[in-house]
Amino acid sequence: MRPLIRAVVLGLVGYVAGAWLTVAVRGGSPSDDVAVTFGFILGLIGWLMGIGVWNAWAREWFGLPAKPDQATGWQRYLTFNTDHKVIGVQYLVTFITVLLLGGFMALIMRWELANPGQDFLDPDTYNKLMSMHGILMIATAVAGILGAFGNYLVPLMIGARDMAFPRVNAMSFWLIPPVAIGLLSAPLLGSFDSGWTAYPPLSVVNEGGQVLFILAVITFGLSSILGGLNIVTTVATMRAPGMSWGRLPIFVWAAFAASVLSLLITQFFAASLILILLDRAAGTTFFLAEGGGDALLYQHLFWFYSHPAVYIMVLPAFGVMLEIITHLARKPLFAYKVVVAGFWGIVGLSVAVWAHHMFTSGMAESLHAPFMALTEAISIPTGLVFLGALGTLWQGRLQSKTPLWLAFGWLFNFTIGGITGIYLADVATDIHLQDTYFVVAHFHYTIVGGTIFALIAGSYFWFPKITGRMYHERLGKIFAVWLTVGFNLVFIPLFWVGINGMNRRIADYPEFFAGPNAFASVAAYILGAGFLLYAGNLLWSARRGPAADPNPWGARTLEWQLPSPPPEHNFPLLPEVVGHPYDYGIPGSVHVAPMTPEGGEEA
Amino acid sequence: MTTKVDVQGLRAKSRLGIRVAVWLGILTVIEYFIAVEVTNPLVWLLPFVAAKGWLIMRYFMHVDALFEGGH
Amino acid sequence: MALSAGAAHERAEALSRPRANRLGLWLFFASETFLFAAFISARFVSSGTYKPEELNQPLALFLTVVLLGSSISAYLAETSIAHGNRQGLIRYLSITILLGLAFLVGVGFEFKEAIEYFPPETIYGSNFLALIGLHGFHVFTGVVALAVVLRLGTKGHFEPDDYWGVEGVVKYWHFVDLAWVVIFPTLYLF
Repeated sequence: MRPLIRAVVLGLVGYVAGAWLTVAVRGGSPSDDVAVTFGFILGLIGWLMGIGVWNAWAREWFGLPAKPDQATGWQRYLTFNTDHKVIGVQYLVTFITVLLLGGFMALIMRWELANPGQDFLDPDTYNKLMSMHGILMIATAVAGILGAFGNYLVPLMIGARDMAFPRVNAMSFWLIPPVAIGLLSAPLLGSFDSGWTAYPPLSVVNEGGQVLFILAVITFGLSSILGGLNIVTTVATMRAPGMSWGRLPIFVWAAFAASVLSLLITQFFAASLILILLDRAAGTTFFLAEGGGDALLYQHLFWFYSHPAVYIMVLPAFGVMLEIITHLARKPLFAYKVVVAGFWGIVGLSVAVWAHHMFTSGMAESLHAPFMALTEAISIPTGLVFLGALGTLWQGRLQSKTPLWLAFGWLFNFTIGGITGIYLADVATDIHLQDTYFVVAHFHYTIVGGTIFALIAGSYFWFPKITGRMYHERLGKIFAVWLTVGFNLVFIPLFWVGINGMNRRIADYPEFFAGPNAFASVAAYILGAGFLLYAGNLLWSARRGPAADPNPWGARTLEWQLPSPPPEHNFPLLPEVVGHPYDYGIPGSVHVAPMTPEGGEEA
Repeated sequence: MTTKVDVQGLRAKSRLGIRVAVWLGILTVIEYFIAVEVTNPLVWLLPFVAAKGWLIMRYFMHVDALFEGGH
Repeated sequence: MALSAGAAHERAEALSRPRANRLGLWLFFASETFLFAAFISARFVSSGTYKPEELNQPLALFLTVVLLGSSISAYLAETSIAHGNRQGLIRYLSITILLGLAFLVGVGFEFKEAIEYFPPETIYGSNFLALIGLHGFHVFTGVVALAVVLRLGTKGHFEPDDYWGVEGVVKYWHFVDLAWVVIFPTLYLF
């Protein structure tokens, strides 16, 4: 506990010092944008140094020996621990918590939206709540799978002892709590009401909470960049003998592709938010028309990150689901190479589609057709990945387990999300549908139906590996059905109200939409209640569940060849990879040579 | 603590570096005069930017070491 | 004969460590390139290749030469320690830091001048100052990192077969120079 307390204290001291110094130098109020900015920066440094960057790392820059934290047991999870498995669990627990928190906010909004007219949220509060829900969920989708399973599984799956940069890895996790604190304390400064997209000019002129949003999201971006850098370097340099690129487990490919994307384009989100911060705090005029600025510039910079960001969210989800489907269908992964090519096709195209978010913004007409065509082209690589999943399931020996049940829900949801996306990519229909609940329903089908389903399915599938215990199978299956049905009941009606013109981001709507909205609200509470079952099952099983077999699914990838949970530094001997990981049912096929003292790498 | 200084190697490498720096300087000066003399010099200057960037990455940042192991 | 667990891992680690360090640093540069690209594209999108009369091109040329000089001295510092010459390391690192500081002073002067001629309330001024400021911030962090490495060098750290600290910081410094190679024409020449 001590490092955590030290981090909180130093963070607060840093914040107060930064804000106070700013006021001392330039006057003004300690709650104005400049003071908050410097306070946040110094507070962030204080927090990081307190949690362990100083002891485990920065001391070396001054010629002092590093003093890594020696905590053991559950206390490891509250310290600057460099074990990738600890960091994976830290991410998993953090983002499941954020997911539940963001979901709770959605329930409050659905309560307000259950009837037309104003019930208990005024429009302003509603917008602030909507913005908070948005950014928390985006963060969960971006970093949930990549942070949790990317960290936990990538080194295990490629036969490495840890990530390439364990301390950078620990830091990328410990950058997350200041993000959460920054976002959740924004209401103290009037919160932010510009959605997670933070479009100017509103985000330049609204209340001070927007500054905390900007600083928190830039910090979150830094964490994503460092995490991505780590995964790319790890996969490129630390694969076990025999683990050629053609033998990488599909999740590693997916995490690798998503990390390349995240490493590069996240800077554009940071840049666009830095420019907003400069407009607010330094008197520049990037996005304000009176000085010659242009708000559309923000949209271009922002969507250059934020559209590929949906692929940062969904590529790791593809990886998780293909792992689950292959292992539980007991068949070789169908068209492995084509699926990998699909991943890279998505990465390549994803940076060339951003302006499809801007068809109605007034940008140059000449951009409409190319962006429509490129956007629709991205369904080709995505379709290849989908065919990989379907081809693997076809005539497989399906094992009826919770993760596979969720995989079927995922296939259904993501199909709907993909098909409805075509109408939004198409200029003619998008002009009618933009900013309606059709958009809301579409991206919830892709992000919740695609990414969050994978996060949940993965948390069941690797639960025995992470905890060494088994979850309750029947409760798991009940939840899988509950989640899939509940989710669809909430969002199917929203397509209908969207087509008929109900605008999003507004706390009220005409009488005409009352029926479907009431239905969606009731369904939302049913869906929300289901998460009690989810959390209850996993929390109870983690402590009391029956001890799990090291390899309950009979899977061939490397992480399942180790005891559960795997020991520190993972492998007693360097594993030797001799074949493809998914050759189920092919006589004589082997992925890893037996990890006995004779089987390790020869000297 | 006392490591032997490899004088020969050091001198050769230093000469190489200085030669590259001189080239960079020459390119910069030419670049500057083109910019001052020509209206709309963007197209003319891009090759200079590319050449300077390549020199720095190749000789100062040792980008090719990325594709070998060890020191 | 199989290696014991620890020995095998240490050998694999020793083989992959320099590669991993270098790759990680280059990936960081790739990422930073996107940050600079965002600012540079903002400049072209909002004000094209517009250049005001008051632009101080000679000062920028001088600053370019200063930064170039610091890059060659950084190169010499790294080359020195790679060949076992500690005095060279210390001397050239000190020169690099001094040139870096000179660059920062020059940029500060330029900043002060620029605020008068094209204030941040104009779109051209916004872009100009933001880009200069972004690059200046990188130079500043580079100087700090060089100072840390210099202090470690004077205390006897780094050997010809173990100087990743120097190599990494010097590479970062070259990267900052590389960024200027693009920013200089972007702001002053195009």
